Amino acid sequence: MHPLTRRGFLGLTAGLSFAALTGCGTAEPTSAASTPRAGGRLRAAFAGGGAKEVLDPHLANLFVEAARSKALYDKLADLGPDVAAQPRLAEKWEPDATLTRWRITLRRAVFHNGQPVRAEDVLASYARILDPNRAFRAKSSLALIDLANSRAVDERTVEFAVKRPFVEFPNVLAAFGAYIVPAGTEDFTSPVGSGPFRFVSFEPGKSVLLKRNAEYWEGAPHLDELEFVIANEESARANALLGGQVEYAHDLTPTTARSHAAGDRMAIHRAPNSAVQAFAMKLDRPPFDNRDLREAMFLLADRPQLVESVLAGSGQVGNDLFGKGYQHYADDIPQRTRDLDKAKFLIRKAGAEGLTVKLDTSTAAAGMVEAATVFADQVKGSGLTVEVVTGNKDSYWSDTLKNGSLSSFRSGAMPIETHIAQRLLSGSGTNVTKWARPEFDALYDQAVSTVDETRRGEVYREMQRSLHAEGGYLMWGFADWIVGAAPNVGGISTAPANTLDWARFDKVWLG
Amino acid sequence: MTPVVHVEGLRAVTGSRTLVDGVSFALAAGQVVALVGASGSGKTTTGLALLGEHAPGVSVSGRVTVTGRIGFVPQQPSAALNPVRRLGGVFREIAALHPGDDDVLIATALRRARVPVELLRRYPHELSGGQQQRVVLAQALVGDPAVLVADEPTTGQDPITRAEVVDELASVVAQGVALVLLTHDLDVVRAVADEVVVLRSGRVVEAGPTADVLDRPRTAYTAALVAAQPRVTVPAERPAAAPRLETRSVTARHRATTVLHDVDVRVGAGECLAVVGRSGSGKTTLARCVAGLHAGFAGEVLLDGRPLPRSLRRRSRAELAAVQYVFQDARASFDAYRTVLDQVSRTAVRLGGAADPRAEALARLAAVGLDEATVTRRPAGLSGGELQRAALVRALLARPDVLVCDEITSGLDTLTQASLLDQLAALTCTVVLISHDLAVVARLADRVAVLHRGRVVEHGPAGEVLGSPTHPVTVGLLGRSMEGTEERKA
Amino acid sequence: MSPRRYAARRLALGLVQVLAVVTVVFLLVQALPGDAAVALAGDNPDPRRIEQIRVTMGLDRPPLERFGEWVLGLARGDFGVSLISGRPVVEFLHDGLGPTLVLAALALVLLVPLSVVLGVLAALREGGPVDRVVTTVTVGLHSIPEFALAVVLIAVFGVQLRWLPPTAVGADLLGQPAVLVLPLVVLVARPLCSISRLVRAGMIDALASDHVRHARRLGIGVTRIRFAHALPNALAPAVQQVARTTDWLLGGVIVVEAVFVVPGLGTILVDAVAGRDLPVVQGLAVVFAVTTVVVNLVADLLAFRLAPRSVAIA
Repeated sequence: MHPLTRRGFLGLTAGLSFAALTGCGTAEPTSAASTPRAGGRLRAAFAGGGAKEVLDPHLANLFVEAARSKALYDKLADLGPDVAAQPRLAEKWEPDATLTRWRITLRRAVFHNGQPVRAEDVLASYARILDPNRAFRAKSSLALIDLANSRAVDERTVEFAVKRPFVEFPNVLAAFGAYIVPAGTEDFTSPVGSGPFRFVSFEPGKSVLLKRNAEYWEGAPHLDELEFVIANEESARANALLGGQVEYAHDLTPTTARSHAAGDRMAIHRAPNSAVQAFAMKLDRPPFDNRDLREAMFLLADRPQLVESVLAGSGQVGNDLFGKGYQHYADDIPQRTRDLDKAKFLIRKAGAEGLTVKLDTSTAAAGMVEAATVFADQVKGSGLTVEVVTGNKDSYWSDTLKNGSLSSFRSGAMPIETHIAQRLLSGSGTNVTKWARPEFDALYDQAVSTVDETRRGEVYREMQRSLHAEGGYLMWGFADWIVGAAPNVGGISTAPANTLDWARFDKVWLG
Repeated sequence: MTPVVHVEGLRAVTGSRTLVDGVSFALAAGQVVALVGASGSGKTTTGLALLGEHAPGVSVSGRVTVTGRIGFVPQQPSAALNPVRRLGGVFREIAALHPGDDDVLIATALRRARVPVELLRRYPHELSGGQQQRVVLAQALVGDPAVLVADEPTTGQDPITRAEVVDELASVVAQGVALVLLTHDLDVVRAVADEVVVLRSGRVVEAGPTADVLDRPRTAYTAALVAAQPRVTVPAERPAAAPRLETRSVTARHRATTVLHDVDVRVGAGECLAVVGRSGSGKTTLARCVAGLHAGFAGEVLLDGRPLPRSLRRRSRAELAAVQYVFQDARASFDAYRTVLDQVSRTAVRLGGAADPRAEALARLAAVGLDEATVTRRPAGLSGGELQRAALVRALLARPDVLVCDEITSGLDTLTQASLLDQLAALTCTVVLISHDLAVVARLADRVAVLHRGRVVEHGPAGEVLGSPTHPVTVGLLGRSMEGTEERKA
Repeated sequence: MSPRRYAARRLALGLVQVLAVVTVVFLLVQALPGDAAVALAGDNPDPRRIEQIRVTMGLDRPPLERFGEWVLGLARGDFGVSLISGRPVVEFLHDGLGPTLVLAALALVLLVPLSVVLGVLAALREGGPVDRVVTTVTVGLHSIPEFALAVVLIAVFGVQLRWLPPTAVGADLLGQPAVLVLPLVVLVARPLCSISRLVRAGMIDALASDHVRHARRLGIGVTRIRFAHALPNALAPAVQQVARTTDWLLGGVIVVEAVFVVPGLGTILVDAVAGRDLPVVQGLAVVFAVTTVVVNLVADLLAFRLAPRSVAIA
C-alpha cells in the first residue's frame, strides 16, 4: 500500500531524453564519491504535488513526503534491506509468552528542541494516528494495538497491548507514516522531530530546507544542509540534474537511465526489487476459477521479454511470488519459464480454447499498459485471446478490486507478512485475486504466532508454495528503482524503495 | 489680376488610357473655378495634379503653376480624419510645419473656418458632419494657403449641412483664397463658382463664367448635365390608395436610447413614401424596422393589414421576398469575391422562384444598362453607380411588394443619379424612400413623412408637406434646398 | 455609453459569469471518476480506508450542500480549505499567483514591444525581404508547440551548452533571473506571431487609409505619420489579441510550468484536479474567471481609447 504513483502527466517527456546530445561522454566513475566528506548542501528533486504537501509526517503519502519525514523524524522500527523490521528509536523489543504484550525500550534520543524522546511521546503519537475521527495512513497497520491497555512503564519503556498474538509486531512499528512526534503536536508549520536533520524553511509546492542535526543519536549527517525541491516531470528532474541545479533526482525512467548511464554528468543508482509487476486473476469467477487455466497463464508469460521491453531491462524476472530478496522469500521454488505446448494443452483441458479474456489496465502505475500489451501478444497462438482494456486511471484500483477477471497490478516493497495480511486473507481489504482459503488463513495465524524464526519461515514457505501453484498473481518481474545523482554524490544505498536506507540522506555525502 | 493657378495643356496617361487630355484654366486670388463632370471625367486627376500628386502608374505632362501654398479639402471628411486622434494634437502637428507661433496659426485657421476652439479636445466621431467638414477646411487653412482644392465637399451631406459647407467655402473665398472646386453638385457650383470647366472623358467640353455655362449651355453634354440636376417641384396630388404598408406606434431603441417614438406612417400599393429628416433623425432605423433588420422595437409593422414578424429570422420566405432593402453603400452589400451576376441571380433563385434565374437576371440588368461583360466581373470592377443599379435589380428580382431604398442616390454624380431616379419612378411596387435630398423626394414621393429626433413631425401627401410645410425642420430642409436652386454668389 | 458605465455593466455581468464558471467547474469535477478520498488513498487502497477518508473530509455529505456552503463562504471572501492538506485555499492562490504573475508580466513586457516593432517593420517593408524574414520566423515559431520548443531549448541551451539553467527548480524567480530566460522565450514565441501579424495587417490598412493620405497632403512628416497616425489605428485589433494572450498567460501556461518547474497556478491546477481537491479547483476557477473578465474589460477600455468610434457605436 505504498505510494507508487508516478505522475502520468506529459509522460512523453520521459521518452524524449537527450541521448543524442549527451550520450557522447565516457563512463568514468568519479573517485571523489568514494570517500565520505562532511559539509555542503545537497539539493534533491522529487515529484510532489502542491496540494498534498504537508509536513505532518502522519499525513505523508508521496515519496517526497516520506523522504522528508525520514529526515526530520524517526519511527520505532524501520525496514532493512531485506524488508524485515529493524530497531530504530526502539533499542529493543521483547514480547511476553502470549505474544500479546510487547515491551519496547527506547533509545536515548532527543527532539530538535532538546526534549528527550519519552514513552509518553510514543503513546501520544500512536494515539494521534489511531484517532477514530481521522484517517491517517498508518491507522490500519496500528489498529492491532490495544492502546487503552498499553502503558508507559517508565520514561524510556513502553508496553503495548496487542489484540491478538502477533510475532511480527515490529512490522507494525515500521509501518509507513508511524513516526514519533513530541506529545501534543498538532502544528507542523515548523516541525520538531528526532531525525538527522532540523527544519529551516518550507515553501509548499517548491522546496523544504533542512540543516544537519549534530546531536543525532546515530551520528550527525555528512551534509550541512539538505534541500528538497519539487519537479513533477521526470524530464525536468533529469534536466535539473544535468544542468547542475540539483545533485539528486529521484525516480527516473529506465530510458533516461539507459541514455545517461555512459555519460559523465549523471551517476545512475538502481535499487533492485523495489516494485513488483504483475497480472491479477480473480479466483472467485470464471474463467480463472479454473486452476488449469491459471497455470496456463503462468506458462504463457515470457518473463525475460517482459522485463526487457517493459522495464527496459531495469529489473529481474519474477516467479509469481511477492518479495524477491526479502526475508522469508521462498527462493527454493524453481523459476517458471514459458512453455507454450503445455499451456496449449492446459487451455484445451480447461475447455477454454477460443476464449477471449479482457485484461483491465490503466496508466495508474508505471509500466502497466505496456506490460498488458506485451503479454497480450505473448498469449497469441495459445488458443486464448487477451484483449487489453485501458480504464480510467483515477478510479482504477477500486474498479479492478470489484470488477473484471484479469487486471494489471503493481506494488511497492513491504514485508511478505504484510503483503499476505493485506491481500491474501479471507478478510483482507484489498484482496484483488479473491484468494480466500480457510486453510491458508490458518497457516497465516500459525506463522504470526510462531516465535521460532526458522519454523516461522517454514510456514511462510508453505504458504508461498500453495500461492505459486494455485494463486491468482502472475508476478512476472521486479522493477529497479532508479535514482540519478551528480557523480560526486556518495553513500546512496541500493535498498528497495520505501525501506530505511532508501532516500536516506544522513548517510549521503558530497565528494 | 495675376492668376495664382495656371494650368496649361495638362495630360495624364495611364498605360494606353488617357485620363486627362489638354486641360487648361487659370484662376486668380478670391476666385472660384469649378471642375464639373460625371465620374471618370478627369476632375480628380486634375485636382491631384494641382497638388503635384498622381495615382501610381499615371504619367502627367503639361504645365501647372501655382503661386503660393496650396491646401486640400478632401472628400468625405469623416474618412479623412484619424479616428484615434484628438483634433488638437493633429492641428499642433500641422502648425509646427509652418513658420510662426503655433497657437496663433491654429487660432487663425479655426476662426477662418468658424470652428469653435472647444472642438480641439474632441475626437472626429464626436463631431457633426458639418463640423467635420469645417475641421478639414481649417486644417487646410493653417499657414494661410493661396489656393484651396476642395474635392466633392457636399457629397453625402444632408441639405442643411450642405448649405453650411457652401457658406464656409464662400466666406473663405471672400478672404482672398482661390478655390478649385471638384464637384458634380451643380447647386453648389451655382452658389459659389465664378467659372466652370465642364470635363468629359478628360477633355474640356465647355468652359466659361458660371451663369453662361449653366444657364446657356453650348453643348449637348452640358445641357444634359444641367437637366439631370433634380429640382424640388411640388408634385400633383394622387388619389390615396389602400395602405399596403403601415407602422403602428413603432418605438425603437438602440441599447439605452430610444431612437423612434410612436412612429405611425402608412403607404398604399404602388405609392412611394419618402421618409425625410436630418442625419440622426431615425430615418434609417425606421427603414430597418420595416425590413426586419432591427428587431428591438415595440409596436407593429403591418403588410396588407397582417403584422410582420419583427426579426428577419422569423419571417417566412414569402414575407422575406415581400420586403426588400437596397442599402446606401452598395459596395458593402456585395461579396467582394463573387461576381455581381452570381449574387444578383441568387436572389432570383431563393426568393423569386425564377425558372432560369441567370437569364432573368441578365435581362433585368441589361434593362438598367449593365451588360453581361460588366456584371460577370467582381464588384471591384464596377463603379458605385453600376453597383447601385445592380443592387436595385437584385432586390427587384424577389418581386417585392415593398422596396426600401436607403439613401441610394447620395454619392452618385448627377447623370447616374438621374437615371437611377428614372428607374425608381417606373416601379410599380410600393417604395419607402429614405433620403435627405428633397429634390429626389419631390421627384418620386407620393407621401412624405418628416422625422425629427425620432418623432414624426409631419406626415401627409407629398404636395401638402412640400407645398405648405408647417414644421420648422421641414421648412429648414426645404428652404435650404430651394435656396440652392437659385443664383447665390459670394 | 460612457466608458465608466460600460465598465460597471461589464463588471456586473462578470460577476454572473464567475458564478456560472464556478458552478460548471463544480459539476465537471463531480462528474470525474474518483474523488479526493480515492486520490489520497493512493495505489491498491483498502476500500474501508477510502470510506474513512471520505467521512473525515465530509465528502459523504450531499454535493449540493457542500457547494452551497462553499458559495456562501465565497460571498464572505472565504475560499475554504483544501480537502487534502487542510491549508486555506487562499494560501494556494497566493503561492501560485506570484510565479505566474512574474512570468506573465515579463512575457508581456517582452511580447508587446517586440511584436509591435516586428509588425511595423514588416508593414513598412511590405513584400520586401525584411517582411518575408519576419513572417517566416514568426509563423515558424508559431507552428512549434511550446512543449516541443521547450524540450529543444532545454536540451541545447540548458543541458548541452550549459548557458542557461534548464529548469527553475527550487529557484527564486526574481532572485535568479537566468532561470526565466528559457520559459520566457517559449511563452513569447507563439503569441509573437499572432500579434505581430495583426499589427502588420493593421498598419498596412492604416497606411493606405484616407486619413493617412490626408495627413500626408497636410505635409506631416513620414515618421509622425507612421507612428502617431497609422500605428494607433493598427494597435486596436492587436489589443484584443494581447488580452487573449494575457488570459492565456495568467491561466498559468501549464505545459511551460511543468517543463520548467515553475510552481505557478497551472501546476497547482494540475495537482488539484489530479487530487480532486475541489475547493482548490474552484478557487482557481474563480481566479481565472475574474482575471478573464478584468483583462478583457481593460482591453476593451484600451481599445476604446485607441479606436473611440468603434466602441462608441457598439
